[in-house]
Amino acid sequence: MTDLFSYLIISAVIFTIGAYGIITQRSGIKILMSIELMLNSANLNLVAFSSFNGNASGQVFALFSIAIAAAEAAIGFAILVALFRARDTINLDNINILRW
Amino acid sequence: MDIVFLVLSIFTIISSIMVVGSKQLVHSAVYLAGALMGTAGLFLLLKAEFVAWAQVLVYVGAVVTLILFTIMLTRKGEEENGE
Amino acid sequence: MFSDFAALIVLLPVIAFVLTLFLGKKLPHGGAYFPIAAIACSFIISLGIFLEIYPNGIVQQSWPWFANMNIGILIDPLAVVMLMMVTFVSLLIHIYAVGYMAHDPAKPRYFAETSLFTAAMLGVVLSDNILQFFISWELVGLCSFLLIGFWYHKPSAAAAAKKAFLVTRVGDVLFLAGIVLLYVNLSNLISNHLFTPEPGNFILQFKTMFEAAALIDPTQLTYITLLFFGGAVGKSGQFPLHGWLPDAMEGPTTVSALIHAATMVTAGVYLVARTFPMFALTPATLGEHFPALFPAHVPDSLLIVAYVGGFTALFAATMGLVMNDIKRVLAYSTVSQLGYMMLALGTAGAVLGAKAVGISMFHLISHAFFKALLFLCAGSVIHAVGTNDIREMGGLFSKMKITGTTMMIAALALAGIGIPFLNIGTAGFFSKDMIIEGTFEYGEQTGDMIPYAFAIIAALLTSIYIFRLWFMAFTGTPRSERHSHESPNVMTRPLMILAILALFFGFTQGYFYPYLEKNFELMHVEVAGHEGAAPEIPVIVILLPVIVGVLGFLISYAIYYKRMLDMSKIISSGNPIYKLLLNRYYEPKIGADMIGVKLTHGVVAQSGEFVDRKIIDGLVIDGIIGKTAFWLGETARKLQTGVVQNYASVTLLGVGLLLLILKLRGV
Repeated sequence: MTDLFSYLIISAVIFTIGAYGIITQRSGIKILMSIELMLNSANLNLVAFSSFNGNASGQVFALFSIAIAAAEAAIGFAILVALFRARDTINLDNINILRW
Repeated sequence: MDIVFLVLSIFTIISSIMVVGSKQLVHSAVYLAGALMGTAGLFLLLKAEFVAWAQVLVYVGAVVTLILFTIMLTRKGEEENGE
Repeated sequence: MFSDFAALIVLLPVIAFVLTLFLGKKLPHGGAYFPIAAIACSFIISLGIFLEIYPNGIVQQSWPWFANMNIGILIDPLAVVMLMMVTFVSLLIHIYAVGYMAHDPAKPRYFAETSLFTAAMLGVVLSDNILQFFISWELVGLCSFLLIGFWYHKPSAAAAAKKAFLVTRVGDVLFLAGIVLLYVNLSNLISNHLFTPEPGNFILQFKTMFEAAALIDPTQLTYITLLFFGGAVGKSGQFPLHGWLPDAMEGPTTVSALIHAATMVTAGVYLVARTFPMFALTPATLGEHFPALFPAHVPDSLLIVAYVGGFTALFAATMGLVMNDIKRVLAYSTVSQLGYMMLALGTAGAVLGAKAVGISMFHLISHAFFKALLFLCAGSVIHAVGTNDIREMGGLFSKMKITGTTMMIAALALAGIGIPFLNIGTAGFFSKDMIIEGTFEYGEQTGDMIPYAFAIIAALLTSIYIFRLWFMAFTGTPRSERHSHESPNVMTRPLMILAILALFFGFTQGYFYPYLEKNFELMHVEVAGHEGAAPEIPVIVILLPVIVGVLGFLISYAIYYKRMLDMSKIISSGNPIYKLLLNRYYEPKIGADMIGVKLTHGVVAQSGEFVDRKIIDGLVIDGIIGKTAFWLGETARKLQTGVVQNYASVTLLGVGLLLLILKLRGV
């Protein structure tokens, strides 16, 4: 049986990949996918701790997080589609209405 | 046990890297599905069967489909962006 | 049983206000039925409460509000007679207004505002603490402003509304300052354990105020009561804040009758009557320090109330003599009669104690009836003739018999005509007689006969100006070709009811005085009074008010009916006294031009502008402070790139740094 530490390492690696994706990517879809990756790594963390500590609440938490991630993804992609209709692009560099 | 874990984790990490690294959006989506499946496998290893099946159903079944539809609907923008 | 619904007295007109405002346009008569029904219910409840608590009960209800304040209802004899008067007069005037305002397109607004006004006035009367009193008082002022400026498209009406608001504001600020000073004193007493309010009593309740009044430093008490009186001076149009009331006649006549004759302006008198125990407790320092000028042993505040009231009574009556606008004459008459009420509180208060409240309130109520009647008659005349100028009227009696007769009754009541010793007479006869006798007793006991002189001379002038008005309007030859006609029933019926009251209300005096005298006893408050042996009042004193009343009638009869004297020589712009009176002692000039434009705008506002624009703005906007802030902002806004990834990177960097710091510190 592998120990907790290796799971945490994998989780951290996936998280870092996701974070890197968010910062470097320009396409809205890619960024959302990276966010999914990060959420996923957090789930892995939760489940690993729950499994090694013999406490089910981590798994329950992970289920919550999955449900919420699904909802978030639905809204995020819907926004992207709407944005595409309005601006004809999903390149976030061109969408800077938050700018001063 | 260890071998299964090793294979699964390497598969997951490589898929994750390819999600970010792939030039084609559709490829990215497929790699994302792979990474999520890999994580589901890790969940199974952790004896969290329910979470694993939920992960497969929700992420691979729903979210990736959603992503594919979005890619399809915003195709023109994606092409325009080039790289 | 009725007292359980005491809160409804105020709430019903408020509900009527909302309903009329929103639904009035779609209903006949501009939704006038709502306020009429609501005020009728209020009147019935008031009457029920009166029958329930007469002769010894009071109603007290109180709920905590915030901090150590409360909202509550206090219905003692003083309040219950006011309640009945306000609701009754208001009801009649609302009914009259259905006819009077029939052709006005803004009827819903009119009825909504008068309804709100009635609610606010009832709020003043019902309050059991000075804070709630003040809030209602301000609301009353607001309604007055709105209604004076009811025809806001007329520049003169807008100006009059503004003037009324600003002038009464002076009084209101004084009143508020008085409340603050009172609160400071009371809370000091409480925190020094010199005084503890009974459990369940709140700090600004009248009960608490009266209990603690004797413990407050006497000098402070004088300031507090004089500040309160300042509020009363503003609201009741006493000298020197009287100028707004005659101008307030720019509003509809019904508004003048309701607000500027019968109810609102009496709020000032009511305030003094309500806090009378505090006035009576003030020290008599003026008499001590200036024995040559002031009588001894008269509480300072009462002395000032008496002198201001007496002077106003005379001062306003002189201006009433020469005014040509029918409503202006009545307005000055109102100011003068309010002066009488103040005079009664001051003089009789000094010698008779709590009886003074009864004397003053009796005049207040009877005045409300006959002055409302006078105004409604004037409204009826204006409605018929279409002008306010009495020089253009004349010979109206043959065409307007009801109006003429009822107005004559009101004039008789105002002049105080009656038969002494038989106790037969108009309402004004009884009430004014009591006031003049009160001033006489005051004079006898203190040796200060000036208030008596004020009262008698003012009574003579009152009689002259009111009969002048009547003779000029109703007798002689018509001076204009206008076709005048009697007003519709909805207008004449209220006139008749008020006329009956103006004639016969005086006969209730046997019940009224003892009832009101008990007012403060029922609240367990001692009122200081120099209850000396009542001096024997000479016959001439009893006769004199009636004699001057009749004399005034005869003078007016001779001049304005028989035309025995040629007035044209006296009434010419060359006569300095006439000019002075016609120009209202140059009060508008002094008030508006000198104080308003030159002093306030020219000096205060200009220097304020200089400080603000040049010094403060110079330092802040163009100076170093403004420049620095501006530069900081310019620099900092560059950080907002609008690219989400930048924000995300900074966030990640921050989290990383935080983790590093935590790790290094070994957490």
